[in-house]
Amino acid sequence: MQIVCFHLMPWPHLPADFEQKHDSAWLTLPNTLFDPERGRTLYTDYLDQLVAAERLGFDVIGVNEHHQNAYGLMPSPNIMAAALTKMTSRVKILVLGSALPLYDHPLRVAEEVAMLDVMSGGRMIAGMVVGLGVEAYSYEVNPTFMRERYREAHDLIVRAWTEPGPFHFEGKHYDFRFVNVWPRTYQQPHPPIWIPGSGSIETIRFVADRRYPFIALPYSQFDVMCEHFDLLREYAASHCGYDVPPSQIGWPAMIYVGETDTSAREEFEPHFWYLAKKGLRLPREYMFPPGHTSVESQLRPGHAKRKFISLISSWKEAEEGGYAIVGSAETVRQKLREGIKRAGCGIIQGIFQVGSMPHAMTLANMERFARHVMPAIREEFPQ
Amino acid sequence: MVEQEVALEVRGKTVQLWQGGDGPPLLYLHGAGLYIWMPVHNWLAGRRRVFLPVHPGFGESGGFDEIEDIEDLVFHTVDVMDELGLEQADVVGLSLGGWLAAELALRHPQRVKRLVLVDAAGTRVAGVTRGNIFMATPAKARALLFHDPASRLATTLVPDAVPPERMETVLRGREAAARLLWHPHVAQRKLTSRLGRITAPTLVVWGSDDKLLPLAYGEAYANGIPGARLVVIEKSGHLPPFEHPERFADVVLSFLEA
Repeated sequence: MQIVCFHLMPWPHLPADFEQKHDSAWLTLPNTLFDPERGRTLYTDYLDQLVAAERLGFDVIGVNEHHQNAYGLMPSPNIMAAALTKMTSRVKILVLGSALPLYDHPLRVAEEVAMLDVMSGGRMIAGMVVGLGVEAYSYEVNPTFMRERYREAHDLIVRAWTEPGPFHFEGKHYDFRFVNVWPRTYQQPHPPIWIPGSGSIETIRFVADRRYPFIALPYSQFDVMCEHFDLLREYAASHCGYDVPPSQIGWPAMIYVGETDTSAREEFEPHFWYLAKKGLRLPREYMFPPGHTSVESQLRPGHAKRKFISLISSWKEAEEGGYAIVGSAETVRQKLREGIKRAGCGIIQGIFQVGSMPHAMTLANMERFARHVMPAIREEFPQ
Repeated sequence: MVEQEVALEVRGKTVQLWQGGDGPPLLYLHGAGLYIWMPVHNWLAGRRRVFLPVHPGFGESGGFDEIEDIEDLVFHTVDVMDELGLEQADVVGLSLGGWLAAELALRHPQRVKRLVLVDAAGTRVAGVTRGNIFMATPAKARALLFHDPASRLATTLVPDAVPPERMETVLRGREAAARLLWHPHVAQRKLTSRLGRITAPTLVVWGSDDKLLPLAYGEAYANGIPGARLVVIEKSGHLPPFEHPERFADVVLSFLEA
């Protein structure tokens, strides 16, 4: 089992009347709500949490990429990764980013990841994401071309890492006459590539064909996520002729370990709702611009079954849907065990800081997890 | 009114076509939201042979993969005219179709006899905000598109929930629309500066209350195209042909027959 401490770096200071005044925490939320002084403290705390994760024995620390929102303050995850290469020494660093179609110059991604890989002595894991639908607005990228651009940028980057330069890459969306990335990646032939996905058929085929680890997105029902894993296993078996190993499947889970089930819920719940109702406040029309998700995927019966976290309204629903793993150490161990077996995953992408959760509470959560949960999970599910 | 729906074969692609009426040919270029035969087409077909080809990706028409921008749609439309044997036709275009009509008139002046641009996309007007239909909820979309968002027309054409049997067509149509309309900045900048090259006699028709493309955009077309005249349809939003079909047809036919 690879255990990841993943961070979203949310803005936790949205006002109490935010929902009354704003219909979105993304794209159109005025950036005057961001306070740079508080932001400075946040970046410090959040980076310290990821550094603590190395000390606590996590295998991987991870950052992600989102644009123009209060949900996550990392429009450029590589900047965070750069800081982390110098603040840590052993742990692997996952960037989940990069949102390839947003960039007219994906060679920059190839260059930056190569730099990070050399700086970190080969500790990078390179994520490649399509980007959310709302980011088609943020970066003015035509959503009907995002999947094409994603694939083409992926091919360009992998070739830039693996083929001797210079060479000419001539595609539909990208045309570079001199592909010749300096520096080359530290890991050869290139850093591992992990792909997050919402379960679209296109992404599942893409990862199955290339045997990349597939990391689900964390905000719908556990069962829906497992169906996506099933789909991946079925597709790989029937079309690619192999059995997907657990190491190719990643379960992203918000995890909170308290002293008791009751105190855990009491401590965690306000921050969960901050995330669900504030950070992920995102109109459907922003989330699903035309073409971002294929018509085929949108018409699939499973698409309607998914209930996005922002639409749930009770803790009972959160618990039954498996939106978060919360409780005493014993409860969390038990829930994770069951979940890992059902999901068939070999990667747990834990999210320990959720919504408005303060620094000390986050660290205490991580420590309880590392001390009382992680060893049992490692023992039961060895790498 | 005689009205037929047929499937053309144009350069290996299927093109859904509505046609009806008798008289000189009128090529109607539809907008991004509605691509069926409507009452306005009956009015026009009273004195004209009306052709309404459905653009690639919309409705039953194929060929979406070959459309990357408005230029491709111009090429395609010329192919359709060739297939229909229309050496020259009067061209009426609404919204996206208006933009297409203007580009067609600019590039192929011999193919366009008279030009009617209706609440047409395609130009830029500094400082006048265009509505964003893709970001709009159904309720907001009705407010952007219609003079009376509560009207039966508005709730029928833009329902709160798409009926399941129409879902695939609607999703594909939205995708085809976004392909062309997501960010046509460069095309818009160039078209605006090229309007003076249009030679066809031109009528610009605009809804007085268009909130998607405010009247300033109609004025930009009318001011940019030599000799163009602007007619404003009162109590109309972005869709005068559907909101006031008879009045709209009158205005258009009078111009075409002048």
